[in-house]
Amino acid sequence: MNSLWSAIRSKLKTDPGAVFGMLYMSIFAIVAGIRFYYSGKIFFFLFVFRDLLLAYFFFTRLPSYKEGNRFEGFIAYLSTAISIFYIVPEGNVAAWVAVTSEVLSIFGFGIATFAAIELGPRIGIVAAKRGERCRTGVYRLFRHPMYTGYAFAELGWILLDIRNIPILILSYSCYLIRISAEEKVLSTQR
Amino acid sequence: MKRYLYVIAAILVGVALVEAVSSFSHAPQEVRVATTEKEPLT
Repeated sequence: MNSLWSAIRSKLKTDPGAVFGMLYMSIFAIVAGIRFYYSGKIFFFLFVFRDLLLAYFFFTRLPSYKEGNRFEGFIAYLSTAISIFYIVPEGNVAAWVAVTSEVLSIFGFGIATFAAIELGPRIGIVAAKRGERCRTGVYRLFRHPMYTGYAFAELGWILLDIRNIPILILSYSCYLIRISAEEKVLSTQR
Repeated sequence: MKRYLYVIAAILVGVALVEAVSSFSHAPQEVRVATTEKEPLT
C-alpha cells in the first residue's frame, strides 16, 4: 500500500494527467461494476474490464514529447465527457430498437477495447506523441479505431432518442478535431 | 499478455452480443433501456 502511494505521489510530480486518468477510469469501472451487479448484463462487465485496463494504462503510460495545444486539449476533454449529455428515454422503447442500440454499443465499445489493448501505455486524452505510432492489431483495420468504435456506439444512442442527434453531431465534430490534432502531433519528428 | 487480454475482450464481446440478441426473442414488444451512454469516450 505504501509503495502504491509513493508511486502515485511520484507520478503526480511527473505526469499528473496519468493519475487523473487512472482515477477517472477507476471511478467508471466501479460504476460499471455496480450496474453489472444489479442488471447481471455482461456488457456492463465488458466496461469494467475496459475501464480497469485503461486505468492501468493511464497510470503506466509513456511520457509525451509532443502535445496538442490548449484548444485541442479542451475539445478532447469535452469529447470524453460528452456521453453524459445523451438523453435516455424514461419510458419503454420498442424491443428491436433497444436490441439494435445495445448491439451497436457492444460492437463499438468492443472495437474501442481492442484499440485500448493495442495502444497500451501510449494512451492519452489530449493528442500526444508517446513512442511510435500504433499500426498493429485493430489499428491495421482503422486509422482511429477508438473513435470509430465510439461512433458506432453513439449511432445506437440516437436510435433510442432522436433528440440525441445534435449531441451526436457535436461529438462527431469533436472526433474530427481530435483526429486532426493527433495526425498533426504524430506526424512530427522527435 | 496482450494475447490474453484480447481473448478476454473477445469472449466478453461475444457473450454480450449473444446475450443482447437472445434477449430479443423473449422480450415484450416494448422494453426499458439499459444503455451504456454514461461511459467515458476516451
